[in-house]
Amino acid sequence: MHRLTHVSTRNRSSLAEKLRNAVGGQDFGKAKQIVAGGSIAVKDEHGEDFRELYVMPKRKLRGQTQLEQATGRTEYKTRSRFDLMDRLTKRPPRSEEMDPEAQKWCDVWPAARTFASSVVPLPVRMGTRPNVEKRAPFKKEGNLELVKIPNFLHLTPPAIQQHCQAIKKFCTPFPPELLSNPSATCQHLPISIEYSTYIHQGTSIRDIRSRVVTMKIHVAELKLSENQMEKLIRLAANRYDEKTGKMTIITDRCHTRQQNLDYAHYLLTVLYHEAQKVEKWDELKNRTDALKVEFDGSNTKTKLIDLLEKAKLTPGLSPSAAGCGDQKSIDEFGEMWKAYRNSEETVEKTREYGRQMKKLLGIQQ
Amino acid sequence: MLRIVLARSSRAMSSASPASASDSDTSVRKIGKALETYLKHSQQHVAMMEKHRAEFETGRRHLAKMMSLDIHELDQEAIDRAILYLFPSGLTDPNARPVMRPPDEILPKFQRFTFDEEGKPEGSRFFTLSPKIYGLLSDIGVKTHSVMKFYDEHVGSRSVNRSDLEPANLSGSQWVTADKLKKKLSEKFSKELYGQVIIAFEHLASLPGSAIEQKFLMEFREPMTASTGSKLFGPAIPEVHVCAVTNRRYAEVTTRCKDTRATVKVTDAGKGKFDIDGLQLHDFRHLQAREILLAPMIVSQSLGRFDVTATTSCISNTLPEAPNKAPLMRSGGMSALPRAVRHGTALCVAALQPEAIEPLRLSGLLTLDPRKNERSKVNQPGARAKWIWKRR
Repeated sequence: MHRLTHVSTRNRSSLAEKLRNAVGGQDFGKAKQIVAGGSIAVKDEHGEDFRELYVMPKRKLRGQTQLEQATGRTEYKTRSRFDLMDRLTKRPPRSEEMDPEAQKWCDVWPAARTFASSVVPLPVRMGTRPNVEKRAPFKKEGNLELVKIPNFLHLTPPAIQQHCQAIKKFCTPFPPELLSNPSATCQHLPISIEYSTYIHQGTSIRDIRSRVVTMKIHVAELKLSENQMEKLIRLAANRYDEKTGKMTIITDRCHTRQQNLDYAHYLLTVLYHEAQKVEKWDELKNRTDALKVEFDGSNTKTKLIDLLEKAKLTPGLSPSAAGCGDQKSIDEFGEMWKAYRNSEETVEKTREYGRQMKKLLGIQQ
Repeated sequence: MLRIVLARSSRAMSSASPASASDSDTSVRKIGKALETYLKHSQQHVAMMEKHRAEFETGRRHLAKMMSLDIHELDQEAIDRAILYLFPSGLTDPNARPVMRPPDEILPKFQRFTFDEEGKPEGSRFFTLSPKIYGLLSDIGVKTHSVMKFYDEHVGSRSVNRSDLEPANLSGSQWVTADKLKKKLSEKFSKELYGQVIIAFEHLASLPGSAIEQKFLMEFREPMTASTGSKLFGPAIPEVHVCAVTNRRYAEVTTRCKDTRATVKVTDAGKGKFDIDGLQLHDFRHLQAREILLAPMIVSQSLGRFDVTATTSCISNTLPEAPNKAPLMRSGGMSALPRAVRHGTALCVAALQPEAIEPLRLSGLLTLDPRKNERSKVNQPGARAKWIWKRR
């Protein structure tokens, strides 16, 4: 009965009449109005119809809908979400679509780039935590730590090999003579230059140590005469190493490595040309000015000759048997004496000194 | 408390086993809420671990392809080297560096309960708060009784070896720490309980005849050499050598203080001479310097016994930033040189005279002084100084 009342109330609504008037036309509206007016004559004092009372909405409630659905009386079609198309267009992470056998990593990551977790297919984790056992390091998705550090994903061994193959056509082969004969390298390449390049993780990519340039020169390859070589050695002072025959020039006073390299070449040029100059005061050189102690003109030689003269007059010694007084023996002794005086003293050299002295004097062991 | 609730819930279960509990809806209602939660978490954990294992295996194959390595040769060590190359990180904390490890190693473990076919927990210790540690205590008790019985039966008998009737040999090893025992048993317990375990172990080890349980005891011992590293901050106590020429003992060490590095050599059977860069003790005019130099001798009561020879250098001159700079003589300050020599002297005296290690350590002479001159900051006159504040 309640439903029936509801239906009849709806049929007499003013909105329905207005719709019918708009659709049907003038005559249709008038006919309906006469019928309605004739059956129920309810008007207020102003001659208008009473407004409809709102009691419940003009649709099925949710409880009623659920009951009908549960009992199987009505079937409702389930609708998709309103953003279905947006969610369908979103692509899953690229790393999940990768096939490890088919793809080449050089094509995925060709150049240096910041870490992208959707592209890198490695399950890398990074991040410290106070309790190591309770938590694992943070995963790669949304991990800012992995974005901050540099990565060498563009310099994997196949990528490096590919780059080397690409630039191979611009290079000439290394000379096979230098490979087979390492000593020839000193003749053809007497100058070697060393410098260092640094990689930084801080706020600045520059390192003050990068500007240092070390140049090493084989002095023998400069083709200098004896006097010129001596002058170069004097000018170089502690930069010349006699054992290896190399001169080392370290420059670091300019701001860039290129400037330091130019300065090193300039220093080498100046040293070379300065060593070839001959001044007037070069002729004033004395024996005491030599870099090494010479046997000729030394007191030892004078005393040695005197000693040999006296040894000939002594009957106890037999210097003639060993050939004492011979210039060859004296020269041999001089060579040994020169090496003894100009190098570090050792037990062996001292014994050699004694052996040579005995040999010179003809003393038998 | 959760186990008690689970125990009560498991008692209400019917004959259905938990493996098939998820299959039928009727028996799920009979399981308690806690057990139901445990089963749900267990299934989630298994699924999550399977997903992570698949991810790791796929990542391993990708890494092998990236680095041109054979997939069969790519073990964990090779993976670590590859990750170290691909992601170089200068972080000083080893735990903060990138890692790629199997999920079984790196993800936290899941506390798993074991049930039998009827759904009952295995072992009566399930109802205790710490089943594993109480199990260990029970094992120690059982073995203690068996050792005593073994000794009573075979004392004076010739049927067993003499070595089997001896106490266990524990020399050169020590008991595992509480943290390692917790990790070994995968269980938490209090310090008092750990003390009880150690007491029980000590009692078992001290019994005659406990040598037959040597293997069981060594499972909870660890060698002492692994933890006898140098406890000193800075250089360790050097070794003692004997000079072949003079047949005297000497020790040599290199240490530093501020900007001064000192190489100190202390010789035994000496006369108390000092040779610091050619200077003797009386060449140090400052009284503080002499007191600093003589402090190790005074503390170790060995005045006039050792000869000290030291050479010092400036640390700033050896830095690679200044290869061609004119070398400074010394820039560490007035007392930095005596203090560097004192530290080296104390270390060598401790090596030559081991009974003086404790007095020297308590005096602080064996500890390196790491303090340095603080770097000056911009926008202020020095490292920390600020300009005088003026209101207006």
